[in-house]
Amino acid sequence: MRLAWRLLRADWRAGELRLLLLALLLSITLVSGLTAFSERLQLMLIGESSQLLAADRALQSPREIDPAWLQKAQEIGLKQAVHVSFQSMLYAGDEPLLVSAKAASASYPLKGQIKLRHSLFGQTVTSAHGPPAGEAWAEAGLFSRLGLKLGDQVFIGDAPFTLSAELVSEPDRGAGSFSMGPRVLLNWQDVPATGVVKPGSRLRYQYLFAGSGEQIKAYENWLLPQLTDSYRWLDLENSQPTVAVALQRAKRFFMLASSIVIVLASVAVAMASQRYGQRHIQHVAVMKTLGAPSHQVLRTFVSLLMVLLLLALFGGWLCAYLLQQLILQQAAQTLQVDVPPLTLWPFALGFLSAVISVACFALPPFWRLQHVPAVSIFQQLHRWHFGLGWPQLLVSLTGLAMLLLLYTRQPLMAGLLLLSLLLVLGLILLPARWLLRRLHTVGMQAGSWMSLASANLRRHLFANALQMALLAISLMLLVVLWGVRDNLFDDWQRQLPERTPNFFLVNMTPEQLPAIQAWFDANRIATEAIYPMVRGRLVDINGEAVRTRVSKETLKRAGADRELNLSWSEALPPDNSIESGSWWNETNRHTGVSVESRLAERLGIKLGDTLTFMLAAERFNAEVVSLRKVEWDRMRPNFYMLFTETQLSAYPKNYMTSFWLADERHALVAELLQQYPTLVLIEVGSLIKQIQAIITHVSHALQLVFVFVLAGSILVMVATIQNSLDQRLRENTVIRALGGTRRLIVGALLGEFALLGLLAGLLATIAAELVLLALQHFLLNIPLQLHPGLWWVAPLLGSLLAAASGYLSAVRVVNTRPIQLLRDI
Amino acid sequence: MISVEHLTHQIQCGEQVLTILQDINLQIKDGESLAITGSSGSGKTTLLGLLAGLDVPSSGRVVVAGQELSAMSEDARALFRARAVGFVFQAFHLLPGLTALENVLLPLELAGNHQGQERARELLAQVGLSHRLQHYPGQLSGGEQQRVAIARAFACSPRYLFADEPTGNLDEQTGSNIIELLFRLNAEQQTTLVLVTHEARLAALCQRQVRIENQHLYEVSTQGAMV
Repeated sequence: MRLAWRLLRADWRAGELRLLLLALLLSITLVSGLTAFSERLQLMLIGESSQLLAADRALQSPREIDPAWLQKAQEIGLKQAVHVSFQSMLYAGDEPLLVSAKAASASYPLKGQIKLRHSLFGQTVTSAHGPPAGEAWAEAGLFSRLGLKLGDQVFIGDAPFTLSAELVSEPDRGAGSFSMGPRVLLNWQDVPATGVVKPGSRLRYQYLFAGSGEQIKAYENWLLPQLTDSYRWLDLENSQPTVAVALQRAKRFFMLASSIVIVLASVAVAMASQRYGQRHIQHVAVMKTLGAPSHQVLRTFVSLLMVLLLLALFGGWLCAYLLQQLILQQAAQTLQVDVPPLTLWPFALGFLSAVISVACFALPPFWRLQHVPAVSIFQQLHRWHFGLGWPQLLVSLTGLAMLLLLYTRQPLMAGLLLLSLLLVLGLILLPARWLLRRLHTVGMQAGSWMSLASANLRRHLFANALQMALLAISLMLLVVLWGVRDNLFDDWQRQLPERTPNFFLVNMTPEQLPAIQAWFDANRIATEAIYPMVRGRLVDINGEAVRTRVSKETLKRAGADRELNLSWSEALPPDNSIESGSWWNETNRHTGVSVESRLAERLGIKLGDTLTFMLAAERFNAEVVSLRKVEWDRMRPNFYMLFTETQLSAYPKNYMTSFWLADERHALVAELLQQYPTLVLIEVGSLIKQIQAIITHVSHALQLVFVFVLAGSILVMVATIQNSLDQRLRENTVIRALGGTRRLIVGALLGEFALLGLLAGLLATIAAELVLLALQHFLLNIPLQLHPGLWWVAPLLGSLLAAASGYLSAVRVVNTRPIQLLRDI
Repeated sequence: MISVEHLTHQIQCGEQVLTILQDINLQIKDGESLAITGSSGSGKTTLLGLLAGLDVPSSGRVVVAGQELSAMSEDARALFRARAVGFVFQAFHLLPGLTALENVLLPLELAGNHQGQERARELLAQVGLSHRLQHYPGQLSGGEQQRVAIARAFACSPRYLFADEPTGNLDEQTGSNIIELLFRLNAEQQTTLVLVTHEARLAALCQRQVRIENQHLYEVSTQGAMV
């Protein structure tokens, strides 16, 4: 042990262990840090996103639920809240207005906050609960339409309420479904007094639950089997698909990226250990000559490795802790959520992976040192072959498989990743050999340093091809990650770009339309397209009554149990794409209807079906000519049923649109509402901002992972280049001793490595594009596209990095006296 | 006493089997100094390695201090070397990451002697390097490095000292100093010295000389004729 310690110190001083320690350190920091980071960030983002649901889960029901269900939630320890929504007439004096009321219990919302203003369009403040009993908070539209002010009294049903604040938003008010009339938020206790809860009244109860992951899981296991069709169990996935998809993709990216870093770090550990072994053959020969038996050699070097492991472990843990803590604290501050507690699992995982890494990648070369024969002290260093054998390759592959499995816990993903890496290695190795062989002719035509460089590359054909392949793989992984990251960012940007509409304006009459459009123009506010809306109910499908064809529950879930907003459009609206059938043409434009595909699926509507609508007490038939896929979360008006103008223009209609208004200009809309009190304005800005904040943080997290991948790639490249440096150093020393000029040697090494890096970069780029296409198609489900913007990365980085390493070593050769160099080798 | 009987050594070189040494017989008495000479590639160093138990012959016996090295495992031979053998090499073979003192301590620690500091310092003082204890090999001249190697060779008070071209990498003056040192310590410690050299002047300092030629060993009389 003492000897091991002494050797460790000696090796450390000589710089022999730096790379190995760095590779181990990176691997542990990464596994522990990223696991902790992504685990906690995810909890944090889920926490943040659950604000969009005002809870972790919600149970939607048309009636009050069985008290036993709530009792069970209480036993499990879940926090609870409830609210009920209903349409009702509100009276201010004698003047009535249809409002969308929502009465919430005292603990509502469980997640997130309610935003309100104590003066109309004044300063927005937040509140952790709804209004107290007897008070009501109403949206601005109510005040303008009925000419009310804060403090006025109104009636809902039989109960009087004081309007005590202007309601800006509730956390769980998603966009997409338009309830009629302005929102009025009440206290749950006041519901009985209103008298609106009667048999047959249309109510929507939402029971909210929040708790730890295990509590939620336990409750879901108990509750979900009991739910019938009339209940909906809401989680982030089905309530906020944009965020859910973003999180899901980010999770996959994390997994992929960290797996890649683990692979890179493992390769670096293996290469650094291999080099260490190679460079210690003579040490061992000296030790053995001086009387050290094999087991003592083994003990010495294994002890050394253990000390190294411990150092790397503690260092890695510390780095991991600091890194993730620092970034999470920052994210927590901006998102205004608590940092979830740190568990020990990431550190245990770091330990396990370090042990596997050391056992499978570092130990084999250390192990083989004991077999160095004492007599090799009389031989040239490299005479005793220390090459890679099949057994070590097998051990390494097993180790890699174990690491990936341990980390991803997805055998399929680990297997695929490993397989594709091997495939890529093989695929790169072949052209790499071919390219190096071709260098012969190129080199002969160039200057003398160039021919020396290409001769060097050709000489150790297989070793150089392998080195090039490893270089190419690390570059490829980098480019792949870069590309995936860009794809994700673009996709997110596309979903909610700058100036995503933050207001919906509904209920414009045809008479008001020109004046309102003029108002928008005068204020230089750009609106999305203005769509007409005709209220109509779907009654028959192919002559069969919808109500007999599908159950009431299905109808309700599809949103087709009430009047639908029918609209017309000449052009296919922006967030729509035709799934089957065709958009308007001369033959279908007079009798056709285009149906949103999800609704069609729920109601069993197919192309060619005849739909019958009730429009203003008239029956109206249309044939389904296309099914449209609609992206509902882009904050633009969209419709289940689209017609042409000629079909619907005769029916009573009003108009809607959406638009973006900068925060500081929000007061403008009050002016609009005052002029046209019947307009309904829905603000979705806070929802958009919330989603954007989440996506921004996910993006930052991805950037961090990316930096790690970059570090891993560079480490592998340095390790790869260093491994061949010893050999080259010897050769160049001899050339220098024989009178090779400084220019020749620097030029040759620089040229050789730059060429190697450039070729590796080119191969990496081709391989990366192929991998990216596969990933886009199979894993990320995003549209296929090439990445010409990234084509420069691998060749440039590869040649620069390789040339820099080559130069550094060349400088050592040319700046030292030949006699000293000869003595050193 | 070192006794070599009918030693033959061959190595595999690709498809071919090369015979390096053939039917060598040699006796070296305790305390004797013997020079092995011969031209380059004649097998001098190979024989030295076989005598010291660094390798085993293809056939024949090597018996050192009553122990048949040629029949022992590599590890058993290593333990034997740790107890009884010291080495000086042409290329010094100091470990570059260890200081002069640590290099001399190495054989002591390998032999399980953890209190060897004093002994190592004393030896380095004897070779005239008491002021260079904490220097690394790279900071020492060739002659100094070889002196550290000599101190290392004597660290465990070996009964047998094997030297392979100890002056081969040194200039004449430094070489003479090293030889003087080597023979002085050898006399003081009463070790048996086996020395490989192609320098007649150095060989002449030994009590006995043998020469390898055409795979065979010949005794050289003090007059320089082969017997």
